[in-house]
Amino acid sequence: MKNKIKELRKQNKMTQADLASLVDTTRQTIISIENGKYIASLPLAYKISKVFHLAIEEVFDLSEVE
Amino acid sequence: MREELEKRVKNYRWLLIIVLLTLSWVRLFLILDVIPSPKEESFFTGAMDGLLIGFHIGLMIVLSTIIIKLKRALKDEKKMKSYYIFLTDERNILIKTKSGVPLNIINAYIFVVIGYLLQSISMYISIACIIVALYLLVQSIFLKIYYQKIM
Repeated sequence: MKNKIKELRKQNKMTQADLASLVDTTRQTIISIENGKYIASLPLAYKISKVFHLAIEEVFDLSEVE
Repeated sequence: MREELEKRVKNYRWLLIIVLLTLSWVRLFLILDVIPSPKEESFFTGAMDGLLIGFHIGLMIVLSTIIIKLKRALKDEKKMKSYYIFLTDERNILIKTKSGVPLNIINAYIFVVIGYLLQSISMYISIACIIVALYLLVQSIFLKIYYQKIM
């Protein structure tokens, strides 16, 4: 699943470790989500979207799901 | 967070006690002839003794290390948070589940104990049990490495 986490993170001048700490996960998980290797669960996707003050569909591309 | 880690310390302590009791009971059963014990000492019975004791000591060392790490983490807020995150990270949990880490280790442990207890009935059954136990452990390790790479 594609997502805009990397772009949003860079816009907000945030490191992967910063984002991981804010959403209570490991840096490795953030790396995997950014690379599209791992699909985040709904609670984690919600937490990540909340950090960037956006809706889930604005951060994650759900077209593949549809 | 603290309660969750304290609960885990308790669970690991119980596991340590179970491992210790299993080791002593298995040895006691053989000494008291509750289960048929091998009549004569051979290289095979010696090897089985070594394997059983080695496997148990290995498990005890791992469990003690986890308990010490958790206890240390409970004293330091920063360490506690990072350890808690590592333990509750959904990707780590998924990798563990997919590679069958807790279940395969428990199964391997049961196979080692059964293999040890059945050594007097048939050497081949014992060897088969040990091979299955080793296979389960190796399978889990490989699957864990594989899923860590692809996920």
